[in-house]
Amino acid sequence: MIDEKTDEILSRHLDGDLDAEEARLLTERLKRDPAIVEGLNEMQRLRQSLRQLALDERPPKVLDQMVRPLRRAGRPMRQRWAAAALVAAAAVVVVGVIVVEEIGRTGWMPWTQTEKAERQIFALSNLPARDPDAPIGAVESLLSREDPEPTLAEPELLEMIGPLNFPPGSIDFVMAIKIDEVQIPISFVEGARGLELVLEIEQGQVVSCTPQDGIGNTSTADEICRLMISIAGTGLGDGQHRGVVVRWKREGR
Amino acid sequence: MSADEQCVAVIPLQCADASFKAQQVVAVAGSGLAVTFEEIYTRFRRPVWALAKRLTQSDEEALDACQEIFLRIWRGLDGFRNEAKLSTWVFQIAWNFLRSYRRSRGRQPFSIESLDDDKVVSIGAVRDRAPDAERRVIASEGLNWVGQALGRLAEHHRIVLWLRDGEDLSYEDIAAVLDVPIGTVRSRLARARRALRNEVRP
Repeated sequence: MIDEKTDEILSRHLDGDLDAEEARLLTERLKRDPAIVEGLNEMQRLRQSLRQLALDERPPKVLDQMVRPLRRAGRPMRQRWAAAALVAAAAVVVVGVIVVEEIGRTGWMPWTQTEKAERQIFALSNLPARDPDAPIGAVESLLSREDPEPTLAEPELLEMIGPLNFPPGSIDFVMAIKIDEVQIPISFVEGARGLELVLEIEQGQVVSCTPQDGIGNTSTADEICRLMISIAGTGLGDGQHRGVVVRWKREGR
Repeated sequence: MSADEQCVAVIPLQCADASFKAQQVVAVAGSGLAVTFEEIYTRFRRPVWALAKRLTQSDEEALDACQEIFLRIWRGLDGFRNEAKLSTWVFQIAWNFLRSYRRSRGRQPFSIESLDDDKVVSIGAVRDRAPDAERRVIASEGLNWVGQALGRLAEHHRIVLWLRDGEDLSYEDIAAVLDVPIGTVRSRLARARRALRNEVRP
């Protein structure tokens, strides 16, 4: 059994981290102790195995498709972000988000006629038919468009981000919405197919994510912000159709 | 100009994975050449995927994680400082994300049931087929065996071992990625190698 101290020497030797004196002492010990030689050889073989494992990894092609919009978009436009954030600081942006795990099965009937009129801006018609096996990722329109301005009459799919399917009543992961100092209520469809969430954002960070029983907050907004949301989880839906549809519009025009 | 330098100057970040060293990436940064997201993706898609796979031990979760990691990289491109090593920066983003991702999922310690069916190698079967350590390590079953043994290590051992032996990062780069002193990398790596050796032994 090789002691820990010797293992550290062997490990450093493997990485070329020994000084001349340490290397000389190790050489002496290797001549005398076959167990240490075997320990070193085993360490080297494991290292080769790990390297081979790393080189053998092949990312699935679907990753290329998921990342394609980013690859085509080139560098992010920081100034544009900053400008949008400044305007957004004085605004509240309402974003409708709908879970699409049942696309193709029942279609969408997210809102009832008794709901407030302003919520209609988030009402989504049936989404365009999509290949259920198609990758989920930000659609190119979000990343390539300088100033997306969907109108009330012409709601628009701006981004599909995924995956999204989370246990009813809980969110296990939310990250990165890059807008500073703005409160963004996000409404998910309530009912058999989804949940309603309210994301509270401060200084660009999600500070709360609260499942609600009813329809989420609505408010006026005088500017559109670019929004990138990523939510992941497990447990809801059929596991085939996942994603988030985001729409927004400029109000007060 | 050496072959490697020429490679960096002419087609930065598109060299073969195995031969592309972190130091060459520095040369790219120092040369003033623009680093595009496409170049970063081309260079790091395999390493990022491999890291995500090793830490999540799930193809599906690794895919989710990779998507988010590259989104973060894309967002952070303008903030990337040329004096930093690109590889360190990318691995930092990946590690920071994967760490939080695993926490957010309440990830439990490794269990063999979490592996994909086609990757699971029966412990008994491997031991029967591989009577000596060398065969276990070299044979393809041995690679799977080593991969599974790696998965059973503590996360802080797994990450340091993967970055050093899997991705050939230097002590300094690993220290920067993990935000720990080099001495910690040195000692942690020795313990990780010891732990891995114990795991693969019958």
